[in-house]
Amino acid sequence: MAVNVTVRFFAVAREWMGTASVELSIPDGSTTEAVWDLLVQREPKFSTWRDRLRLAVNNDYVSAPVALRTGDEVAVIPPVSGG
Amino acid sequence: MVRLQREAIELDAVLRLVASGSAGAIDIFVGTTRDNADRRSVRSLEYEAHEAMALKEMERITAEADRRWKLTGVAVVHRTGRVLVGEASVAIAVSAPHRAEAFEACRFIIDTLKQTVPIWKKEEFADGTTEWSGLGSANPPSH
Repeated sequence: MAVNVTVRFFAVAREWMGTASVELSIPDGSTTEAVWDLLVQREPKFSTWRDRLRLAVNNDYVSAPVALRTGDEVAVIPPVSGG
Repeated sequence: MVRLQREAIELDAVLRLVASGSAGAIDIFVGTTRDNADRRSVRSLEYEAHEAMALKEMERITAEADRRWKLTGVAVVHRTGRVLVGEASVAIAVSAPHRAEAFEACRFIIDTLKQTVPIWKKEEFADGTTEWSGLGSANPPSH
């Protein structure tokens, strides 16, 4: 069984990817680490900037790897600059 | 009350959102767009938001401020899309029984918003180039 998640990109990360979102299929039991691994394969900048990027799952920031389920939405959050 | 909007922010309307008979003070913070960044001349700015998450995070911050300072009203309005130099990009209004709480809560809200709310600013410079604030121009971290 695979887990299917939507990964959304914003701001500079959206421009790196050239798209606002992708659907990823990861092995059952995978965590957000599996999402990072796939993103780094597609775009090396995710590796370069990983320390400055945050992930959110279903609209909440996550700081440690969390298990993902089908239907989850993962967002890649570059350093914010609102205000 | 928290809101993202593409239209210009009407400050009178924001103040009305927090008006209360039990308030003795209203504090309003207005963030405006600067005409320069890193010594370069800025022509306009573009704000992008992860809207659902930004609203959720703004709600979380205002709830925390309300819990800490027992406010009588709180409103946060942030622009998205193109914002011209000198315009308000964000307005935060807080009403409270006394001014000390209003000042502190207002400062807490803007400081926290700038750290956690997923909104990004792209600067368009006078020479036509653009850059995302925060990461766009930075050099990659060295390991």
